[in-house]
This record gives sequence, C-alpha cells and structure tokens, in this order.
Amino acid sequence: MSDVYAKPLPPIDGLNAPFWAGARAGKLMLQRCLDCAQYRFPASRYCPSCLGERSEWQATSGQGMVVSYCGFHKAYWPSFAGDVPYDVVQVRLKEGVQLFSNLVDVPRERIKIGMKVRAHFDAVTDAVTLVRFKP
Amino acid sequence: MPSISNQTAIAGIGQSEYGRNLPDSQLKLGARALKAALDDAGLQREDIDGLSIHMGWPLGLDYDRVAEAYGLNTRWAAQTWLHGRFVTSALQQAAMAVACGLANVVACVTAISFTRERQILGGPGDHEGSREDGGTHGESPSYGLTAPAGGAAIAMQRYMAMYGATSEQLAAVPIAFRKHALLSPYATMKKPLTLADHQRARMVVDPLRLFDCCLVTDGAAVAIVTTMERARDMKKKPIPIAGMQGMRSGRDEFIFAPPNLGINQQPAHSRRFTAADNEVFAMAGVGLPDIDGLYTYDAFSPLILFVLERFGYCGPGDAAEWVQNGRIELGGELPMNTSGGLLSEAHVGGWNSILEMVRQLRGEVGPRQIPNAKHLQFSTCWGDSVILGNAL
Ligand SMILES: [Zn+2]
Repeated sequence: MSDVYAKPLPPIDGLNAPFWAGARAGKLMLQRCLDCAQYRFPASRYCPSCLGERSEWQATSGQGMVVSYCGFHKAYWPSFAGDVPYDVVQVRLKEGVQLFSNLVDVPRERIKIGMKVRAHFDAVTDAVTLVRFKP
Repeated sequence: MPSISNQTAIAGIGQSEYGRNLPDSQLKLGARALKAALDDAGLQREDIDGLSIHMGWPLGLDYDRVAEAYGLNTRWAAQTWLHGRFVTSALQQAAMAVACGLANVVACVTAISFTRERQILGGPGDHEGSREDGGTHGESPSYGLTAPAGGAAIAMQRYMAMYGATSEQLAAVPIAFRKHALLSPYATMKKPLTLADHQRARMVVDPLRLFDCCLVTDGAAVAIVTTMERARDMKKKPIPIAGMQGMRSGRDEFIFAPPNLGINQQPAHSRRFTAADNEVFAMAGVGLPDIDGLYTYDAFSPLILFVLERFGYCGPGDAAEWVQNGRIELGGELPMNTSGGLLSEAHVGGWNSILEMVRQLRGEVGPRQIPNAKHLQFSTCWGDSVILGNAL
C-alpha cells in the first residue's frame, strides 16, 4: 500500500521516532520526564517544565478528549482533494499533552468539544501508522 | 537608560500598486515602492544606510540581493521571513538601529508576489509546515492540517464553543474592512460586502468562510525610519514611533489564538491582561481612550477579536459582541484597518496598514480620515505592538 499513499507523511526518524514506532506497534507512546514526571509532546531533549535531561518513553492510556476541531473544505494539497470536506481535531490526552489528529467514522455534526475519544492506529503505509481517534 | 519613545520616526512611505497577478516581479514592485518612499521623504538613495527586510526566503529576496539590485550601500541590515508576525519586529529593529546609531536612515522593505507563490502558502511547497514539530500555525500535514487557516479555524471553533460567538457576529469584521476598502484607491476589493454575502460564501476551513480569509495579492511597501531629529528636516511631517513592545512567546502562546485558550500546547485558562502585559501604552504615555484607531494583521477575521481582547479593548470572550454595530468602522468608537487590511485592501504583509497609519496621522486620506487622529496603534493577537503619534 505504501506505493499508492499520496498524502504527506510525518518525519518518523527524528526525536519523535519512539512515538511513531509505538504507533506502528499499536501503542500511544509519550516522552515523560524522570525528574518531574511531566509528559511532553512533541518530543524534546529537555523537559519544558523543569529542564530535566532524563526522560523515558512510556505507553499511555490512549484516552483523551476533543478540545477543538475544524473542517477543511479546501484541498491545499492535491492529495486531499478526494477527502474534502474533512475534519481535523485537537485532542487533549489524559496525560495532559495535546495533538492534532482526525476522528475515524464520526460525521461532523457528531463532533463535540469535550467528547471522550481513544487512540486508533491507522497503518497508512508499511512504515507509518498515524494516530487517529475513535469515540 | 533613556526611553526610545518619540526618538525615532517614519519619515517617508511609498508603495507599488497592489493587486492580483501583477505582471511585475517582486524586485520591480519593491523598486517602485522604494523610489516613492525616497521621494516622499525628500531623500536620495545614497541616504539609505540600513535595510530592514520583511520578506526573506522562501517567499522573497534577501537583504543583500535587495541592496545590490537597488544600488544601495548599507552598513546595517536586519531580515525576517515573510510572516505577518514580523511587521512590527522589522519596524522596531529599524527604530532601534537608528536610535543606537547603527544606521542613520533605514528602509523597511517588503515586496510580495503571493499570486506567483501559491504553492508555498499552505501547499506541498510549504516545507515550514512539514517540520517534525509541525508549523507555526499548527500545521500537521499528515492529518490534513495543511494550512495556516486551520490554526485560526481551530482557535475560532473553540472560542465559539466557550463564549457562544457565531459566524454571523464574526462577519462584522470583514464587512467593516470592506467598507474601508471601498474608500481606499489602492484596494483590490471594489464591491460592498453584506452579511448575506458573507454567510452564503463557501466555507474554506469551517468555521471560517471565504471572506474571513485574507486576499492573496502582490504588492510592495516601503517605510523609511530615521531619528526624530533628522526626520524634522525632511520633506513631510515626521510620524514619531511613540511606543513599542515585542511579540510574546512561550507555552501560553499560539500565534492564532488568545493566550491560554488551549490551542496547540497552550494551557486552557483565560485571563485578563494587565498594564504589565501591555507596556506599549506606558512607553507611549497614553491609555486606551487615547488610541484613535487600531490596526492589525488580519490574515483571518478571528484575529481581530483576539487582538481586541489581548490589548484590553474588551474582556475575554466579549469581542464578538463588541465589534457589532459599526464599532470598528470609520465613524465608530475604534476604527480598525481603515484602508481595508489584508481582508479587503491587499496582503502586503501588513505594511499596507502601516502606510495607512502614517497617512492618517498626516491627515492625507480624505474620505477615510479619522478626525484629529493623534495616536494609532498596530498590534497583533500574539502580543507585539507599535503606537505611532502625531508630532505637533
Ligand atoms: Zn521535568
């Protein structure tokens, strides 16, 4: 399937590599500070809360809440032309960090700020699994 | 340490024509704007010894090419890339350079050929948005959050849910600016805009409709900055830079949302701004009631609501109601973007509004003149500001 997927793919070999490796294995991994226990996203070498250098990647609950959303009616990239209108959501995970993503199989009129969602792992190519969400 | 307040001034302004698909190159548009600004100030190009460039790569030329192309010999340069957030940044750096003696006369130059660069505006050519940590406006292309409009739309959706604001209320912003554009000879948009037109127009990124999103145009603008002392000897009345403050950044900030709204990695607690947040007023020696007009980078209409709240013109969540009934129109309590802004005049990186402020303070704009304009403020919802005064 990787040769037919035309949409943009995230860089998976940077600091966030464990996040993408985790997604491929069906886990939502987050970096956590070993000094102050705060989770953080995106990944960074130093903890934004305490500047601690020690961290580890932990599998998380994959549970979160929709904080906001928007609906793209314009395809800024040709590869999304077949999808418009499509929705993008912002999810706040139970662990406190926020990320942009999509809901799976939820029509726009049913998207509500505050709705509880859980991670859904969507293998879009052999190498990349995107983290989407389901109610 | 002496204050920089009123020590520097805008001594000359110039522009090219604004419009879509202009035949001239970015360099040619910029040359026309520079010549007009030199003429406006009564200067020769040999007098320019500093450059503050608001257009660098990938959407524009760098300072060295600009100097070379225009036959300038400069001893100081600053350069930002073409993001609206750097309007006052470029202006402030010019003011600081002349105040510190690093240059005598700085030309702030922006020249834009957006209609030739569409691919870069949120398209596959937008490598900025494809970085590992995403783009400045929340771009996350693999999930389809591919353009700056998405960041503004997500912020507005949350704002609507929190405060009950509506798309009909938001329409007051582009409607006001369209009225102003109809009075600007430079404006791209020539027809009135009604609430029905706004509501009927297609969605771009829901909840933002077509007229909530700025124009994509070409054009150039130049502002010449020097010390107040030098400016007094030039051709036109100098417009002093009375106050300024830099853009804010940190974990409470996201470029297209009020601080703490909860967008991107912001925490979610709204807060009221205090005098300490907005030192631009103290530097200029004025208060909110002294500001005769407000200008902002109106890439998307929610940004107008957010800047009003940030600078204390109204409280958190109040702006959608506050902008109703002509309050931000000419003749209203706080006219905003009086030449039409990016939404209706042209997208010249926000410099079209800086030029408009200078013309207003000189009393040159005829039908759209704010009577007795003494202080005009340019601010953005990410917290930077410049207050221009009126030297008497
Ligand atoms: Zn820490």
